[in-house]
Amino acid sequence: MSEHTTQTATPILSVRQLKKHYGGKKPLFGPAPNPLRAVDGISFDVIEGETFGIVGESGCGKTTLGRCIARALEPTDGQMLYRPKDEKEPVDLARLKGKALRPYRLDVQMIFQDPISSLNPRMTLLDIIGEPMIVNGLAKGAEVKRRVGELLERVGLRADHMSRYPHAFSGGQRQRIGIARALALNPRVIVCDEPVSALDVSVQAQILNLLQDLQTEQNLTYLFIAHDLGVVEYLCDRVAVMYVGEIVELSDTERLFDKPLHPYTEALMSAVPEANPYSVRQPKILEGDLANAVNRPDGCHFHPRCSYCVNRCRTEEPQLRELEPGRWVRCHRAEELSLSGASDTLVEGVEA
Amino acid sequence: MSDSNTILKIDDLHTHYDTPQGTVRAVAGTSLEVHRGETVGIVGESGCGKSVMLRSILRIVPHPGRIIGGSIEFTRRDGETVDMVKLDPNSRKIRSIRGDEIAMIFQEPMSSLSPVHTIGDQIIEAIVLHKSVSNTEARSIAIEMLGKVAMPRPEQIVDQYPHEISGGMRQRAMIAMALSCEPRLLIADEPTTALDVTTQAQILDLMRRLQSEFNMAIMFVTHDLGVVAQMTEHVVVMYMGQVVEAGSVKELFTAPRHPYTHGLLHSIPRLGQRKLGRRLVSIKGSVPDPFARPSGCPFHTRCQYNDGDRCVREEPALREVMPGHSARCHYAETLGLQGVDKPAEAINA
Ligand SMILES: Nc1ncnc2c1ncn2[C@@H]1O[C@H](COP(=O)(O)OP(=O)(O)OP(=O)(O)O)[C@@H](O)[C@H]1O
Ligand SMILES: Nc1ncnc2c1ncn2[C@@H]1O[C@H](COP(=O)(O)OP(=O)(O)OP(=O)(O)O)[C@@H](O)[C@H]1O
Ligand code: SF4
Ligand SMILES: [Mg+2]
Ligand SMILES: [Mg+2]
Repeated sequence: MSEHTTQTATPILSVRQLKKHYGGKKPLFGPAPNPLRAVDGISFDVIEGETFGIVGESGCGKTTLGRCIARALEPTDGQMLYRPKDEKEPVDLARLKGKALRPYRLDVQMIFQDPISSLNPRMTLLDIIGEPMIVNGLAKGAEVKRRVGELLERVGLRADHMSRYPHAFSGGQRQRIGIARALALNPRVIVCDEPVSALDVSVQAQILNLLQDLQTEQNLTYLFIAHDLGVVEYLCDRVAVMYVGEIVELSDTERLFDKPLHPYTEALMSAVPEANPYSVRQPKILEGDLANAVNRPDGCHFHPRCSYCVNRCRTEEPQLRELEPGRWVRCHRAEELSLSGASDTLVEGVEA
Repeated sequence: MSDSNTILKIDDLHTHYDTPQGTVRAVAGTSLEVHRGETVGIVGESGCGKSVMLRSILRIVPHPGRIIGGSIEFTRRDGETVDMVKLDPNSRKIRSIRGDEIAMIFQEPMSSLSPVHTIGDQIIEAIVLHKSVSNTEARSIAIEMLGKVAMPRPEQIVDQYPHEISGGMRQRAMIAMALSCEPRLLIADEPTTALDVTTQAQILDLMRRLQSEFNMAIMFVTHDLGVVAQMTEHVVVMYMGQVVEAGSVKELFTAPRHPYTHGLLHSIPRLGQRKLGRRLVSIKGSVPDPFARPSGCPFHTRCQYNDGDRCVREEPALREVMPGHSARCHYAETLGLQGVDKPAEAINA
């Protein structure tokens, strides 16, 4: 059976030992500097129709991973085996270039994290959303306008907004333009990079419900990157937790939130601010130096900040291993530690 | 009701955008007050005018937006009170307030960081503009500040360009820039949305520390009601360019008085809710066309308590429902809306 999943369904996407390094080229003189290991040997499977969550510290490589998968970036090494709709054999998106990549590129779309820098300020919404449809032969003539209007309304904007430019919208409205654009090309897989973080909770609820409806209707697969663990818990079937370019834990959502296996996951969950001024979480504070993707610590890359660190952690690098069926963790002490889940750290009746 | 402790007082502010299709009343009569050293949370529907209001304070509303009425009184370090609305947006006076006495963290870092300058150059420029220090000193302040906002490898990041760092790192760069001048009023527009919760906790801690050190007031716009609950004392809820509810965070969360606030409090995906297997509730419908504001109460088109009569005809005024808690709903006193749970111990206390 395939790596890092126990599901028997065939994966739509299998990522294998994926790497994306920045810099590190040898200069004319002197030794090559250390590269920045934004993504460093990541492997996981995504099942068709599931929502696969990716969480982790800011700067740990989530966007880089997402952009590699959507082929907005070329990976340094590794494979991304994608199974096209009517073909038996998977294709390696990491290897394909130019024309050969074209047919699959449409299948994998991305909702970008920073909407303002991904929307051309000189194009109206009609062009931003409609042009890719025309270029890819998905619609023409009056049909384009009709579809753009429909998409705008689906994401909670108005059809008559299509003649406006991106700057005339608020941050959250621009985020929805990005969602409409990703949906326009009938993708099978959507990499959603913080798709709802700019939205107020009520619009966020509408968009999350919309993403769920579209998933059911069109059997869409989502890779869902988010910092809001409440949203992740609500939406995702499985979640990968990343730390400096690597997966440190991978599990189904329920068991992950109930009883995390990695100390970093525990720290993350304990830091979620509770939406009640009469409750606080007891944070598991992360001491020590921040993760540095250029010079990673020896041994377990998390050890300088880990409160459970023992000697072995300083010298020996833990591997990602399957501790229970479907639960993967990269920690030497995972069996013996008994970590707190999301609700264990909540203290009610204490004022914030 | 302003007193000597008031640092900012916005009164009946109107900021409009004239567009070929008509006028967008982005800010339509907003009033609020901020006291020295306190944190005011501002929440509201996406597009309700929060960012435009904040930009109005600093007089940096982009064209074609303009302030057409109201006042924004800011009390300066030397005790002088100035109406920001009356100042020329290019005057020396306003430039000496911006960045120095009032600093702003912008919602989308990419729209306010220059892509052609390094992070360090941009922070250093801000520092030398407001402090009499040399470039070398400013550089070490910049690196120190980057470290304080939990930036990894600050000595290297200082020489990198915005596109070479992650979304959350850009946000931290901007926070470092805003805080480097020790402002008296910090305007933070979604400052932590791009951050993971552990980094966010560090930033919030840093803000609290600076707040008590310099008695800094903070206006904190966020969609994260968890952050509001944990970080602020007062909350202002906006809808279609107006304040619809304002009060202490405890009152407003446990006993909301406006149906919109109530709707927000129940749309949050709280940790642990998955087990309940519920679909998220959201407020029905969407924000009305800004060119065609609804008659009567602007929220009536989406409100489940709409009486079909007074709500449609008569615009409710923002009025005090109890001391320190005001709401803009005809039925604010009688709806008895449910907020988040108040623990039994706190009820007795
Ligand atoms: N073009 C680039 N050149 C050099 N380094 C880069 C580049 N893009 C990203 N990086 C680095 O790669 C690392 C991972 O960045 P990435 O944007 O993937 O993080 P992220 O997990 O998405 O963070 P966030 O949650 O803040 O969005 C960071 O250390 C960043 O500085
Ligand atoms: N240049 C412009 N032309 C026309 N309308 C504009 C322009 N800029 C902003 N607006 C409108 O002003 C309103 C208020 O925008 P603002 O950015 O203040 O919203 P916001 O409350 O900050 O929302 P978000 O939470 O999504 O950031 C929006 O409806 C927006 O469409
Ligand atoms: S391996 Fe050691 S240092 Fe790493 S997370 Fe586990 S206990 Fe902490
Ligand atoms: Mg990112
Ligand atoms: Mg805004």
